[in-house]
Amino acid sequence: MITRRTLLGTAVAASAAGLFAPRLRAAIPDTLRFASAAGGPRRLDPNQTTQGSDNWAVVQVFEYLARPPDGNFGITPNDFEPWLAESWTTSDDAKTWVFTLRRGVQFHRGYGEMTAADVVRTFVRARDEGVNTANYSNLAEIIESGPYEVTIRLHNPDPMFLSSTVTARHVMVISKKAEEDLGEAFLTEAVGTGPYELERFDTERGIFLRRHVDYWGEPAIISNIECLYIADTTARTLALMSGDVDMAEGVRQPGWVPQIQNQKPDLLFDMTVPGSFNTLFFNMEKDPLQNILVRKAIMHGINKQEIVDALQPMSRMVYTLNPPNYPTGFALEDLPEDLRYEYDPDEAKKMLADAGFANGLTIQVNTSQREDYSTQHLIIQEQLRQIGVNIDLTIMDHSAYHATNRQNLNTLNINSSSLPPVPLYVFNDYAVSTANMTADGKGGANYSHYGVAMPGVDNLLAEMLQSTTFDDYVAKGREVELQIQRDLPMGGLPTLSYLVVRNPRIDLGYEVQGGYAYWRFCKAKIVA
Amino acid sequence: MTDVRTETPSAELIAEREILAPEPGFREAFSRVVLDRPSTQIAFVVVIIFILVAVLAPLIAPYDPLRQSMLRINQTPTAQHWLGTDQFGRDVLSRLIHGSRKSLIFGLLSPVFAAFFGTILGVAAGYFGGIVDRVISRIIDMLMAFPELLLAILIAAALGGSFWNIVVVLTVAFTPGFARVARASTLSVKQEPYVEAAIAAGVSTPHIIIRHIIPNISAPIVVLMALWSASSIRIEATLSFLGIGTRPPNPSWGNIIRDGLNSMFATQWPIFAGGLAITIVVLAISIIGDSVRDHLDPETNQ
Repeated sequence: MITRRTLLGTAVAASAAGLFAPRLRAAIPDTLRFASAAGGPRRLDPNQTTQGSDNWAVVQVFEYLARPPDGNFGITPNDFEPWLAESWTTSDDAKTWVFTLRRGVQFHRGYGEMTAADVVRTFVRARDEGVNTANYSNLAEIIESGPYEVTIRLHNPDPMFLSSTVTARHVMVISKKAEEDLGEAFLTEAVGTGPYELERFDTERGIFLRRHVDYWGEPAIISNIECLYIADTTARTLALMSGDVDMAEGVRQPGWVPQIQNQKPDLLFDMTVPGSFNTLFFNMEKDPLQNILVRKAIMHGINKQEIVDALQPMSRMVYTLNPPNYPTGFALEDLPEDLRYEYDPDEAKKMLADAGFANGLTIQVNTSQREDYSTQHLIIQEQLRQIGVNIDLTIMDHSAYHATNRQNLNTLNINSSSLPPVPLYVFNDYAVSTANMTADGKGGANYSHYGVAMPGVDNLLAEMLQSTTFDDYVAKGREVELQIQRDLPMGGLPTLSYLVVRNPRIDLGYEVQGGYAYWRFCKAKIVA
Repeated sequence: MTDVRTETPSAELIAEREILAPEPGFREAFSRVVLDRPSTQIAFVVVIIFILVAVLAPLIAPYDPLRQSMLRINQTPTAQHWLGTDQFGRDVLSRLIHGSRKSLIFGLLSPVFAAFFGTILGVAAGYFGGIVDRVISRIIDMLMAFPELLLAILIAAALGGSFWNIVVVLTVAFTPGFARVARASTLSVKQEPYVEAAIAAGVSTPHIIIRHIIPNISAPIVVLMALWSASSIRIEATLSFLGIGTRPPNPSWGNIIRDGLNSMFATQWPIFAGGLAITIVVLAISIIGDSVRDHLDPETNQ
């Protein structure tokens, strides 16, 4: 029965469709159409992608030496299964890793069989030439120790090498010959070994893939994948509702999931847990954030549970920098009481008064237009208003927001990043002094100037990096986590699942539980 | 042969005539504009109501327009929230009421500023001519080459969305139009015998401009002001809809609609309420603007 509400909703949707929706088409047989939230594709080379949305195509075309189970991160070394490498061994000091490669793996478009030379080239370029060389700086030597064997020597021990390095997308194996042949064109026409190969890279519409017929493993079930780009959230939502796309990136703002569920109850929601880490940085070069009482007052003024409630079912509570289910993360009860920073507006006001701000204070803050950023900043703004902290918020384009962060122009910026359960990543990216953000834009993502404006955790981190066992590594990592909590240069905000809404006609073939913000379609099938 | 002597009237005589000349009283003009047609009467009442709502917003809004409640996200209308709530659980009616302040202030303020600056530029260009005219006219041409909305978006994107930035944006967007009309009217009025007489009598230039030019070009300027008040509200709403106008969390009708788009499958009321408010006020101001134009320039109506 058509209710007035349904009619009204449909009328609004139809009007909006006319305004926003791109060329609509009916579902195409044997094709999976995915819509991501970006304007257009940039690159397909896994070592050169600078836009998260491009990874949806990358992960179909390229493969790792070893991989965690579909739909999740691997946490311990035992969680990884052989993939392009048949097996591997590691030395007692966790500094030498030897990978034996699978034979008969064919590259796309006739570029021949994968050998050790391709793998060596892949790791060397990730360390020396990619967009994230810092994460591969521990690679000392990459040696072709046989036609199907690669030996990797590290500067420091890394018992988590598989999760920290081998399953990072920059070392997805590429064809050395194709790279040499294609030159600059390799950026958008890169050649891998995956179950899908590139059919067309359309800078306006998206990346079009077809099944790789010489694939070494189980062939993909669906023949074609279209990775489309629809930046406007309304247009993307309407494309999904109309059946024009089978899967679309969801909108991470309050009330979005329930309203879509109400409107179309048969749609399926795939979410990564924990998803994106959201970290609130206190820029300690800006007044009055050098004062730890002000920082503590702000943390006590933020009601994290309210953020979690607002962003259900995507949001999960976080008490330190890493989420509780990550190796170095803490549950509330494991933390000393004075490091919990639970919501307490009276305590926050008292701390502000002790800091000399009994009448409150105003802080200029920039935020991004992207809904997950602006939502969190708007909720925090309203919460802090209750304790007398007036956040003068400027909402800007997402790229401009990150640019101003990098130029030391922000004060209380939020950074959102989907990180694997590797403690080193978040500490290396956010907390170490060598990642200090500098106004010339050349620094890292340590927006707090931790370790520069005040002593940091560099020594503790160095100790962690000398660990040769997983347990020792985690124990040292938890010490780092606690020290950051004491100094409070930054604070963890609730995590936010990466969300994809799926038409029930698509069965992914596995359940999405965690992992990076992209997943494989090779097991997917069309069921209706 | 008859000696025909043309006597140039003295400045005092001209001033005396001006004093004696009957001018329509404000009340008479107002009643003729407003009361002549029922549609204008209704429009006038509507605008007055909206102005009252804007002025009394803190008193009549049922809730704090910024107050969030995560327990009441995206609600449809209830007895507590007559227009429902938005994605942060904020009361839509309260946001609409407070949003009227922004819309009406921008709607009235920017055309007034634009009329002021545009008239100065237009009269200077038209009256002095020569290099002054050429420079001002080229600047006006340049600015008019951009559609008002595009110009407003460019400036708003460059300056950001604070209150005075939006006033500046709309003022800059509208000034060329006023300047163009003021220039054309000045060129025409300048040829009138009474102006030539004043010049011949040695009346000072500022006096001529203020006493003779401006009063006689005011009709089209006033019409433009009335008509562009409506455009100003529309453009402010557009900028806020695009996210470069009124800065959230402060409400404006444009950003209420924008926020509503992402919640449209749960509640359509923010979109309808914001859209309806804009439509009604823009329509009412346009009707009044048309009446003012008809009154000041009856030929157009014929």
